[in-house]
Amino acid sequence: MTTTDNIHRYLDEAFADLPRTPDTADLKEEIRGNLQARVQELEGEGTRPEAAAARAIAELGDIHELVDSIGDPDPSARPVDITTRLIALNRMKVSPAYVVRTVLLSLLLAGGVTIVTVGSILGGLAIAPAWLIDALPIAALLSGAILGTIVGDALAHETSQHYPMQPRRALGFGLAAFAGLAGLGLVATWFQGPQLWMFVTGCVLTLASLMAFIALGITQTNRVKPWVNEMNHDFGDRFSQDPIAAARFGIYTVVIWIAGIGLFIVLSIVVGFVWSWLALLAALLVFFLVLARMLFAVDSTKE
Amino acid sequence: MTDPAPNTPQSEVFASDLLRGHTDTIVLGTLRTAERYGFEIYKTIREATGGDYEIKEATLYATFRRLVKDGLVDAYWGDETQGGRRKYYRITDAGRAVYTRNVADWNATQRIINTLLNAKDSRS
Repeated sequence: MTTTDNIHRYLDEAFADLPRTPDTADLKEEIRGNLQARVQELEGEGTRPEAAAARAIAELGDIHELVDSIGDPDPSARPVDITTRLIALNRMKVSPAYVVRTVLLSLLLAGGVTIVTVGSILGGLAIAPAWLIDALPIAALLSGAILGTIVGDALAHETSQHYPMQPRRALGFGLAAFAGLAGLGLVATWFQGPQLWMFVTGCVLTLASLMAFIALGITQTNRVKPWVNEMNHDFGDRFSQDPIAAARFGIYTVVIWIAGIGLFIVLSIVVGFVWSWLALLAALLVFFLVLARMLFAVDSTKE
Repeated sequence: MTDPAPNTPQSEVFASDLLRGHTDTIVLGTLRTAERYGFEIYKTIREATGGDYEIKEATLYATFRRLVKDGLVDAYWGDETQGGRRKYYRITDAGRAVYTRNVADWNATQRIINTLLNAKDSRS
């Protein structure tokens, strides 16, 4: 459509000579939003689309002077300042309704999970009151539904660092979370022999949830906003700057744990469980030492 | 772009220059009651003066940036699902303090100028 074409072309021309910095991109985006609001208003009053765009641009006045004045970022800026600026530029409003909703749902979720856990433990010890046992499957299903709502709701929201997930994908993650928690809750009722169907349903739900998470997980694409990537690249930890170091660390980890677990099995057979756990402890220590060394080593690529 | 005002061109220029010096305070004033985005602020100012005076939108962007830099307003992106994204501004406590002080300063200045102008009037 020509309406939006005009606005976008005008902005592109006005910003053409500028280096693309977060600052200029932010200003361009802001002006674009305001121009669109004005065009919408004019069209609502009955102005033709092309005329509305032209008038909105005319009313804006000369932005070249403004654009030129923000051209060069301060070269003496420290990395910390740049990070702070990037965060401030990209901040998004968190709607109070969303926060209140999520906190309330989380409280309900905590209550539901507590009922399921306590009920299952008491049930396992055969000292649970009848009403608690009756409430278990309902509590499990409700907890699952609440968790699913929280997960789906959160993923469908745009945040300062992430674009919103597509509604259908978010729904998928929400359903998978529901199936997972409800399934585990139902599995926890295994101690009630007669109600085998609940246990079976629970297993099926848990499996379905696992498969759904795997399917959604491997088809997931990037949701992170460009400015976050840029920041990670410049100021992030070593693994996000240097993928090779991350891969090397992955291999070290596998080697350490294979050695640790192997030693644990051998020691368990030869010396017994009293001492064999030390092998796992040693593996853990080595793992953390390597992690520290990898993350905070002097970076030779920067010298 | 400016609607024809009842003043002569000469006095219009004078008024614009005077007003331009108070753009920051005027913008802070529009944000006292509500969080607004750029075009909304522009519209509020335009409607408040009945079209007699329009701050150029381009000028406003420079003002927003200055106010944010000084910590007098906060900026954040709204989460509109339709239409373009909008950058909203919210006055901070520091901004309210500066606004109040500027208004007090203006009132004092206004009194002094009125007095001076009247004094000159009565002498001539």
